[in-house]
This record gives sequence, C-alpha cells and structure tokens, in this order.
Amino acid sequence: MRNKRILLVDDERDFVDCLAKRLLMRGVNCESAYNGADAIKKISTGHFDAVVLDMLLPDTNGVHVLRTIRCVSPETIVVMLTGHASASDGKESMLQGAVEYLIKPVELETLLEKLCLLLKCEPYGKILLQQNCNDTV
Amino acid sequence: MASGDGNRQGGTQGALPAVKMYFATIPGEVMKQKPRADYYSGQKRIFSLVIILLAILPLIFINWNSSKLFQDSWLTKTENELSSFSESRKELIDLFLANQEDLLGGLLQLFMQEELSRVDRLEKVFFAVNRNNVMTDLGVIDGAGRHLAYVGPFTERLVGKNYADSPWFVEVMKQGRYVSDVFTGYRGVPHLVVAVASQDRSWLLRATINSEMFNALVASANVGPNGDAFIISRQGEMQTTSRLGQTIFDPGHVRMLHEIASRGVKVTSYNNYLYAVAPLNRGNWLLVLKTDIPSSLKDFYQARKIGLTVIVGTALLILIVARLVINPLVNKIERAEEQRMNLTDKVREVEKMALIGRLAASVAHEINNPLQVISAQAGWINELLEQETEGQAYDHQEALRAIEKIRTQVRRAGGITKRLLGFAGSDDGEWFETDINKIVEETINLLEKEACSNRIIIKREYAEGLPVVRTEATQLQQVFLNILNNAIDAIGSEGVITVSTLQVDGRIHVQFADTGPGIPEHDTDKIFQPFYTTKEKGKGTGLGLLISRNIMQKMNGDLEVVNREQGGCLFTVSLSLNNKVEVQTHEEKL
Repeated sequence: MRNKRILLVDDERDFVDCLAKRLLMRGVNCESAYNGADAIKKISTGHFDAVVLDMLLPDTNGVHVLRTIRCVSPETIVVMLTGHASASDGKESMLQGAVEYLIKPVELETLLEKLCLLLKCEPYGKILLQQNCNDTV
Repeated sequence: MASGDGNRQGGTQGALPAVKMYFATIPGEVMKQKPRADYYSGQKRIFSLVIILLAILPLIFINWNSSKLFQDSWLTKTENELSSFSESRKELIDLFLANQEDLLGGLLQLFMQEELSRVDRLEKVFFAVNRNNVMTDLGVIDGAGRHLAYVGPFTERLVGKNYADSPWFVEVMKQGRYVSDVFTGYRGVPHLVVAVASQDRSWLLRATINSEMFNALVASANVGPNGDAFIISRQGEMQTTSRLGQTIFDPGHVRMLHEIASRGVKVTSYNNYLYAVAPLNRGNWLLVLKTDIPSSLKDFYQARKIGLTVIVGTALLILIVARLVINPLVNKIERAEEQRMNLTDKVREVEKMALIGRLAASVAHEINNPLQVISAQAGWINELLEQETEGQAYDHQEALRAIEKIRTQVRRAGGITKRLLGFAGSDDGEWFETDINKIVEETINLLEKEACSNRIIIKREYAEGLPVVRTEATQLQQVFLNILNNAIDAIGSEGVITVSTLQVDGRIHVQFADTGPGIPEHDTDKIFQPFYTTKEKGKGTGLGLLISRNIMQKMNGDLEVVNREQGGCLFTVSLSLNNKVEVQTHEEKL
C-alpha cells in the first residue's frame, strides 16, 4: 500500500482528516477532497490508484463524480463509502463502475483490507507517528 | 396492574413528553379536540325530536282544525238557537202586550165610562176578564187624569189620585194606547201598566201587568245554565228581573244593544257571552237573551281535553318508540363513524410510515456519518494510546481533540434522532402553541441532505415575528414533509424549492414553490384524489396529498396547489390564527 495513492472524498471533514492521518500512519499516500468539484479537479490533475467516495456531497452526488472518474481515469478503483443506505444507490454505483459499496460506519481495518484486496498489494503495516504524520491536520 | 400503571405514569413523565414538548413553545397549554360523545347524544335528541314532531304535528293540526270546526259549528248552532228563541219570545211578548191592549180597548167599547166608574161593576168586569191573573189591578181614569174607579190591592193609595202629570197618562192621551216602562208611581212598587184611551180621550182604562207572569214569559227562555233573559228600556232600566241578578247596564253596553237591534244583527258575542237582541213594545224595549259561551261549549271543552290527553299520550308513546329505535340506530352510526375514523387514522399512519421509510435513507446517512466520525476518532484515540504503551510520546492534546469531536458527533446524531422521533411520535391529537418557522425549518433539515445530493437548493424566506399558532405540530410536519418530498421527486435533480412563510389577514401561509414540471393540466382536479400519483410504482401511495389536506382541514386550515406561471407548483398551506379549540391545561391532561 505504501506506493499507492488514494483520494478520500467526503464532506465530513473530521472523518476525512482523521482517516487521512491514520492512513498516513500506515504509510498510505492519500489526499482529501471535501466536495465533488474538488475531487474531480484532483483526479483530473493527478493519478490516484483508488478513490474512497461518499455518495452524498454538498455540490453533487457520488454517482456523478464516479462517472467523471471513470471517464478521466478509468484504471482508478472506486470504493463507495456512504451513510446513505439505499439499495438502488448501491446498484447504480456498481453499474457505473464502483468496485465496492461500503456503508458507514466502517472500521479502518475493514477499509484497508478491502483496498489491499482490490489493489492487489501487500497487507499494510503500521508506521510510527513521528515518521508519517508530521504534516497532517 | 399497579406496576403497569406506574410504568405508564413514569413513561408519561419521562421521555415521551420531552419528545412531544419538543414542538411546544408553551408546554403548559395543550389543546384537545372536543369529545364526540356529546355530538351523538345531541344527534339522538335531534332525531327523537324530529320524529316526535313529525308524528305529533299532524295530530295537533288535525285536533286543532277539528276543534275549530267543531267550535264554530257549535257556536253557529247556539247562535241559531238563541236567535230562534229571541224571535219566538219577541212574538210572544208582543202578542201578550197587544192582547192586554186589545182587552182594554174591547172594554172601552163595551162599557160606558159611567158604568165602569162604579167600583162594583168594574170589579165584576175585572174578575171576568182576569181569570188567568194576568193583571194585578184595573182602573178607570177620566180625560183630566182623575182616578174614578180602581180594583186591585192598592185601593187606599191610588183612589182619588190625579195622573194628569204622569208620563204614561200623557203618552196614552197622545197615542191612544200605551205600555209604560216599569215605574214605582203612587203605589211605591215597581210595575208596568197598559193603558188604552177612548176614541175621544174622555176616559181610559189602565191595567197593571202581573210582574211575575210577565217575568215568567221572559225567564222561561232556554238560554243555558249561565244564560240570562230580560227586557230593558231604551234608558237601560230593567223591565223584568234578571236571572243572574243584573240590575244596571252601563250606557255603552245599552248603546251597543240598541245598535245590534237597529242593525238587524240578531246575535253577537261580547265578553264571553252570545247576545240576541230584539226590539219590543214598538221599539221602546229590548228583549235581551244572552248565553254564556264557555258554558255552551262545556261539552266541546270536555271533548277537546280528551283529545289533548290522547295527543300527549301518543307523544309519550312515540317518544318511547323513537328512543327505542333511534338509540340503537345512532349507536350503530357512532360505531360506523368510529370505525371510519380508525380506518382514516390507520391510512394516515400508513402514509406516515411510508414517509418515514422515505426518510430512512436520508436519516441513516445523517446518523451513519457521525457514527463514522466517532468510529474514526475512537480508532485514532486507540492508536494514540497504543503509542504510549509502545513507549512513544503520547500526544495528549490530539486525544482531547478527538474526544471533543466524538462528543460533537454524538450531539449531532442525537439531534437527528430527536427530530425523527418528533415526527414519528404518536398522533394523540394534542394541540400546541407552535412556532411555524421552527416546524418548517425542522422539516427542511430532515430532507435537505437528500435535496442537496440531487442538487436541489432549498431557499428559506421566513417572515419575521409570526405569531404562534395553536396546531398539531407533528401532523403539520407530516404535511410539510409530504409537500417537500413531492417537490424533490417532481424536480428530480437540479432545481430550487422556495419555502416561504407569511401572514395574510387572520391566517398564516406556508408556501412551497418548486421548479419542477408542475401538475399536468388534465390532472389538476385529481391531485387530491386518493391513489392519484405520478411517481413510479412503489415510491408513492397516492394518499399523501389527500391526507395532508384532510389534516389541514381538521386544523381549520387548508391546502391548495396551483401551477406557477414560471413553471412548477406552488403549494400553499394555510393555518387559522383563531383556532377555537377547547383548551385543556397540561396538568389536567396528565
């Protein structure tokens, strides 16, 4: 996972920031976006191996962002992570190319296991806080 | 039982009121709708009254009409009888008086003055012509008024008297024959005289009529138990005795009697009496027969009393039958109404549950997000603490920040569940003083996230300083949720819903304007019909707007919808500021 770049898209800043810190602790290179427009901008300008994408965003919905990602960066794996427990949304996401549809709350370990499995990489290892979290919020 | 009651009381004073009071600006005052038991008792009374009136009124009318006809015919019969009596008595009395005059006239022609001036001769003649004792006395008077001879009981008082100045003497000398009014004269006893003068007025015969016999002629008239028959002079003086002891007539009464006689009206009613009046003695007297109307109608009144008793008895019987028939009937209606209301409540509950189902996804998102943050922060604290056990420095401030974030998210989740509970709370018909802007805002909060994800902006245009309204807050919120849900569904994605509140006259309007496609023209009449829906199968029950309007009408409000000129719909919820609902204090309610 250490050589993978992951984009975290969610309007819940406390969650995204915390997730980012904890992923960085584990040596995962990740970035955060708090809305759909920011996410699309980052996808368009940089390469990401995986995107953890919320379904309900303040400016658009996750399916719309998902479609853009599939167009801009088809090789990027998209994991939908949402509190919106709607079967139709899950179905729609999978149809649009998401590889996983997770419902909040999800434990970090579960998320990482899914990502590792999907990215076909080694299991993650915990990295010391001093070495990896200096630049986090 | 005791523990069950205790639990219920505990529940009432515990969490549930807190949820209910959530919407209440003034929790101490709770309003309740009037119980329907009174309404049905009233209906029973009205139905009974209507049936009784329908049954009794014709009876009363028939009784009244037949009574009137009977009374009229009875009076007519009595009038005819009285008139007939009056005619026959008049003829009898006139004939009697004429007979007396003719008798005296005959004597005048048969005898010479000198012959009858002899008392012995006069006495013989008197006894010969007065076998039936019609006359009390007989006297011979010359043309100068001197009393020449007299036979009768007042010899001492009358013999030798001069009648030249007596009114009767003047009249007989003038007319030749005369019947006087009753007067006392020299004898000092009321009496009436018949006098006939000779052709040359040189002498005359005068007889006093036996009062008892004369009275009997009149008094024998059949005028009923309280009737009367008498003769009065033009001056109103009694010429015969009254059976009822009447002696004096007031002038007005006399005038009236004369008028009746002069007009030829034979019978008239006056002061509960029927009067028959006939002129006598060349118009100098009036024969008056009067009969007491109530006495005459005694049998009729008796019959009427029996009729009324029958009616009252029938009314009581009908009342009993009406109550026996109506009570079960109204009870049946009451039960049917109760069942209908229960069904309506159930349908409303189903619609509410459907709404809650609609809300579930949105609310799940609202709750799952804080849970996710809590989970992440808890994991983060755990990792911080693990660092300490592994001998690394423990970032105390970072842990405190994470704990504070957990608390914030717990409060956030709590707020969401509270809002949901507030809406899902049981519909117990409680009316609160409610801040409409607050209810609208709470409702928007429940759906805003979903709207946002569909790129639908909800604009607020709340009027400031709106008065509080007595209303059922949870039901009102159900209405707002229905309308907002419909608006979100109608827009689909990308649009604006403008929610505004305003005060118009004595009402508060809450308007929801959306930028959706509006209602198809041919469906505008159907929108409030049951099971009408434009949503895809399984998404709408088709009852939402119908129930919403029913809810509003129950609150003395209304729900209207129009298509906007610029596109989309405008739903207007109106609430009356003057809800006259029975007020019950919170303490009483508990």
